[in-house]
Amino acid sequence: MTVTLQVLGTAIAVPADLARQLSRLPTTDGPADAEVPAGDPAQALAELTRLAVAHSPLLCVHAGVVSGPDGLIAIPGESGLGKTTLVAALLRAGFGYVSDEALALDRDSGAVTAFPRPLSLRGDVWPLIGLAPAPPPDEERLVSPAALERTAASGARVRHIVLARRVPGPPQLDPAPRGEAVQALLRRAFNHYRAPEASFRAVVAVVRTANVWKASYADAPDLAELLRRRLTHSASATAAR
Amino acid sequence: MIDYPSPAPSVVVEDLDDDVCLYRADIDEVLVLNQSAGDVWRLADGRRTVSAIADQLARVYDANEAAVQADVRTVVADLVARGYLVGAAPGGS
Repeated sequence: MTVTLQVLGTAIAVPADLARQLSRLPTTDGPADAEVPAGDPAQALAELTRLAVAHSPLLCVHAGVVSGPDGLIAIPGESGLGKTTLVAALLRAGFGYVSDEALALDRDSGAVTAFPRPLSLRGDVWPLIGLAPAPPPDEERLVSPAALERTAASGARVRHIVLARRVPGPPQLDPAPRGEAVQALLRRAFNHYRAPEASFRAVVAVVRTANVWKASYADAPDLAELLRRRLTHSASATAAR
Repeated sequence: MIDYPSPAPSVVVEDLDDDVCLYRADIDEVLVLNQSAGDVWRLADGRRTVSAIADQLARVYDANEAAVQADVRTVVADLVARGYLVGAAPGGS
């Protein structure tokens, strides 16, 4: 049995058990553009992401995204950066969940569509988001977005772009030139080739109104706490003006 | 070195703060020019020679003319080599 979900602006039929884990994504009555074959949940989720990006009318960029006090925070990065772990740490620090995989932008308005798919986390990361009992430390399991306290709605704008890299030492967060964010976002776009000029202009428009930060960190919770302090302060300063 | 440099037809341009963002969709590359390189870019409209661009910037910056000439030639040569600028060779050929 399948359920048709609205994912990244397109309709995908997914196995019912996976749909339950993706319970924050809206269902649709319309016909599906593609169907995820049944399989183990992790494989089905990866296939769902691939199909959604392939069919999405939105500009999809490989990034973790959370919501903060004054808008969204996008963290572009390849697989292996530790985006999912960093997103989990940010949720624990009080940010809202948008996606651990894709920043999905409307090319005209810059509005972001949430893609709160389950987080695939090793057992040793589960305590970061306050879940128990955790699986064995080196075993990776899916955590449903329904188990997370804060899931952000679609339609918000990107307010901060964090260019993060993992290096030994204490976490650091410094302002960075906006041009670097344009390069980072476009380099990590999944589907900009369909409308390259419009995608480039959309990325520049998003970057133009965002704060760009360069972050280095060794441990995700340390950077999450630093971002919470700095970005909460930034929002308070803006509100006070 | 070409003269009368102008943007290659495939280049998409967006201003970003004081910088200039260039995108070549054919090779999927973004190039960000800082303010001074961006000033060269803005004057490379196909109607000015490289020397005229440098003269104008030397006046604006109130800087040593020979140094600006050298810098502008370097920027133009780099942008031509990377396919962002095109133009006619000296002598109009």
